[in-house]
Amino acid sequence: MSGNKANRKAFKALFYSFAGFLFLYSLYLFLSNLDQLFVTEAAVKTREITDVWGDDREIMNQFAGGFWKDPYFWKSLNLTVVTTLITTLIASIVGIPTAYALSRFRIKAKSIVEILFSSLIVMPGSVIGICLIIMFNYGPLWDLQNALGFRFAHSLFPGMVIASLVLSFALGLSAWKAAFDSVNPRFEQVARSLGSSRWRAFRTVTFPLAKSGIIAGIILAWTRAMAEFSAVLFFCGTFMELPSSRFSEFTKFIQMDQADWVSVAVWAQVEFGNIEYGFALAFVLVLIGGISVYIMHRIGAKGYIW
Amino acid sequence: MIEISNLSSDLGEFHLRDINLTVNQGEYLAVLGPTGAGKTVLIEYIVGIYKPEQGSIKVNGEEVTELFMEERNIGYVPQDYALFPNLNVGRNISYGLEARRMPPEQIKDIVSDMISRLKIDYIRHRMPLHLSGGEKQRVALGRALATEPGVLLLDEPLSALDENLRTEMARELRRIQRSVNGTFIHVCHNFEEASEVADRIAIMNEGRIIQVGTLSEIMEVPANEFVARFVKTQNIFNGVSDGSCVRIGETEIVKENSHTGNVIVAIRPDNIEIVENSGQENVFTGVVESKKLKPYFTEIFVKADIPLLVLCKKENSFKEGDKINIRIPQEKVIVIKNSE
Amino acid sequence: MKLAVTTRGRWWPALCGTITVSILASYLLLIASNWIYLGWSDTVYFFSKTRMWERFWLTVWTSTVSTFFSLLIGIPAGYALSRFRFPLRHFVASVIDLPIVVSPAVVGAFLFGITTRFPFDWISEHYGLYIGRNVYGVLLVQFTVTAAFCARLMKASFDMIPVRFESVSRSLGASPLRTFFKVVLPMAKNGIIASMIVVWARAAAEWEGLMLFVGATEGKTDIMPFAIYLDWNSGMMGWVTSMSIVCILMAVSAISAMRIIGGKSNVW
Repeated sequence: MSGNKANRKAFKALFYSFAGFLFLYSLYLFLSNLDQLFVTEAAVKTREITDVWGDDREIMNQFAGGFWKDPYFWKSLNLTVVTTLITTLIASIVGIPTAYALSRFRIKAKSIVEILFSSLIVMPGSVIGICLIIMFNYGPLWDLQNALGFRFAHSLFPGMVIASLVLSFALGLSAWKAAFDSVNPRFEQVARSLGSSRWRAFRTVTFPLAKSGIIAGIILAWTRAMAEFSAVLFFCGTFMELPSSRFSEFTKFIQMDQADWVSVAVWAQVEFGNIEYGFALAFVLVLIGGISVYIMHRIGAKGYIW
Repeated sequence: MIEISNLSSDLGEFHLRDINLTVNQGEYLAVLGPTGAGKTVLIEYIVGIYKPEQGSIKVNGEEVTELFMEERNIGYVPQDYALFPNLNVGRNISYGLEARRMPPEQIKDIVSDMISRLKIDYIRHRMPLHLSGGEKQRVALGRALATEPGVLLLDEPLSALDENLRTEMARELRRIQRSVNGTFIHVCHNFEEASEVADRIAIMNEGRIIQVGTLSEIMEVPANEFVARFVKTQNIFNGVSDGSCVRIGETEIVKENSHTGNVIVAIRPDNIEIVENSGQENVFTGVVESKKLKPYFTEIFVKADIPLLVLCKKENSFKEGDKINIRIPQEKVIVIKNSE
Repeated sequence: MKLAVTTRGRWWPALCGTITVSILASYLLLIASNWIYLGWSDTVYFFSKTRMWERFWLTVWTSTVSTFFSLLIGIPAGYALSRFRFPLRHFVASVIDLPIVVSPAVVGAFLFGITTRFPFDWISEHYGLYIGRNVYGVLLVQFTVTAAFCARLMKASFDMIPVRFESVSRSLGASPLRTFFKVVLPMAKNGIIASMIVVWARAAAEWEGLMLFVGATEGKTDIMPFAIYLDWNSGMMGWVTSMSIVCILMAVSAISAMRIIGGKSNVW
């Protein structure tokens, strides 16, 4: 009997070790880079020579690039959070009825629809970005924009919202569809047989029962929007170095001028050699992502490629 | 009152063929058939979950075939009851009334009346998750009946309950149906359950309605061998009839009938009598092969020229191996034309 | 009492249908815009170039290798996450999930930082295996993202198998390891294969990490999604669009293959 117990322990230890490896790898990956936040002598010297940051040198040579003192950081965070919230709102308003339709209605060629949305989840971000560029900057949509005197690409709104919406919607849709799939259609049938209209049956029965899944989908869509990088980079680029005159008064008023999408800013800062600052932004994103994924695990979010 | 005429439809592996059924106001009909006979599908067509390819459904004389589910005014109690888990018992019952935008006082009156009628006052504010099977059943009934539907459809309402509760609930169903004078269609696969509740029984198999009639009609004049077997007529034989008697192998049973040629002979085990002496009409001598005690009677397998199952009173002195005489009354022999 | 039956609310299914159709149309336009832009003759022209197929094969083999390693780690890790109950379970799962929930560019930055330290410096010193600006760097980026992705997909696949099969197997005297290989794995087979295909497609789609960590070396590290970015920077729109067509086809055929196998892959 004791042999059996040892056997069981060895089995558990074996499987724990694989999960432990992933856990430690991930932890090491993120935590070991904390020292990147500290400014090294070599970095200071390089900055003296290249003189990239001219006026800001005093701030930049502080711990973590002194990011909390920099309006660029706060403007970027403001821009990203507000944009992702708008994206999530649009994705929910459009995505919840779509998920309901995909889950309940008998749609012809349903498998094509499902393959389309599922493959979006595994499509490279650069492809999404290129598709957006080509869709909006050539052909009829381009003519339309010219007629309106208004550009989608390289704009804060709606450019960034469109770029982050594509994948955020696809991920949210998978979770919302899973939420509606988990509610027995029988409830709705009974509600309707009692004389309730389809809208009322949805509002009073299906929606309350699917609520936790729908909330999980909203968090998932928001997390995905926050994690968006390639589509925004391709479709909108960076705004940091644009002159102040290029931004409207309203954009300045809501503190979004000369600001970037945070993950694009990480890339831009590290690429320009401002490593401490870039990593500081990266840690902010890790913190946000970590909290939302923890919440999703706690409420047991579900969603699938179907 | 509901009239279904010429309803035919295909739904994957289930299909309905030419269903004709009329249930009058205040009548309780049981639809009986084996698993896969299409009973649940029939219910779902009546509710309006699917649209039939042809045929029509009329509720209280009003054509509903083309209407949406919410316009049909049909009560529906599915097998798992589907009580809305997010609403308490009272809200479940008032759900249909609220959908019709009735004034709140009127809703309150109807719900209170329904709750007292179903004797569920004590669970009025509970959530459905914490109810027992019988309570759920009552709530589901109350919810469906509160809107005074033209017809109430019950899909295997008793199958989720345990054995003792089932008989009690069957009587309860009957009582409720009488008290609201509603039109009920009750689907089940259990003959005893159907005979407990129903005024009339419809037997269904492979998407067709084979026979509709009262309990005694179905037992005495089954339409075919399937019905005879379904209503538990255990002694069924292939025989040849010449109009005045039927011959099963070597055995000849005197029976005036209108068939000639191959027939199916069915004799209910409770119709066979045990008699003292031979020499009468249709009396056979056999050996008791085995004996089985059942709750209310004893089953005896008698090996005469043909093997017969006989039911007799619980107290009897027969032992295995005893010789007994049994009489088959002429009027109780059922002769069905063999369609094969 | 004849009750007036409401006919309100019919707008709801109509609205759902309309939204679905318009969303579908815009996504189809999005996906199809490349073809419309490129045209048929140019598509044929770019598809016949060896540069295209060299990059294609580079993408295929790197993602296959990293999928292999991800499965090796991901299947047992997913099983452990699915079956064992331990304190801080949600915290551990969240940390494992981090590489897929934060922006992949951020993961690239962190990989850039980690490869200069133990054990990577030690490996390159003693074994001459340098992981960085070469194809090993590509594999590391893909592995980092797909291992986490794989563990979560596998956890979901194992979650769908009831525990009682294992209990029965163990009550019959089979050891836990035997139960895992003879009962759990065969039962999860469809889910595992489906997840494997999704993981492969995800590995083939990974490129953001390469920007900061690996950089461009023509013919060595320019796997297809990365090459799209590189060629876009050099303004070669023909290459860009033809390569994104290939990427789209890869993603769509991977998902179709998964559906043909009949599995369902839980992303969350």
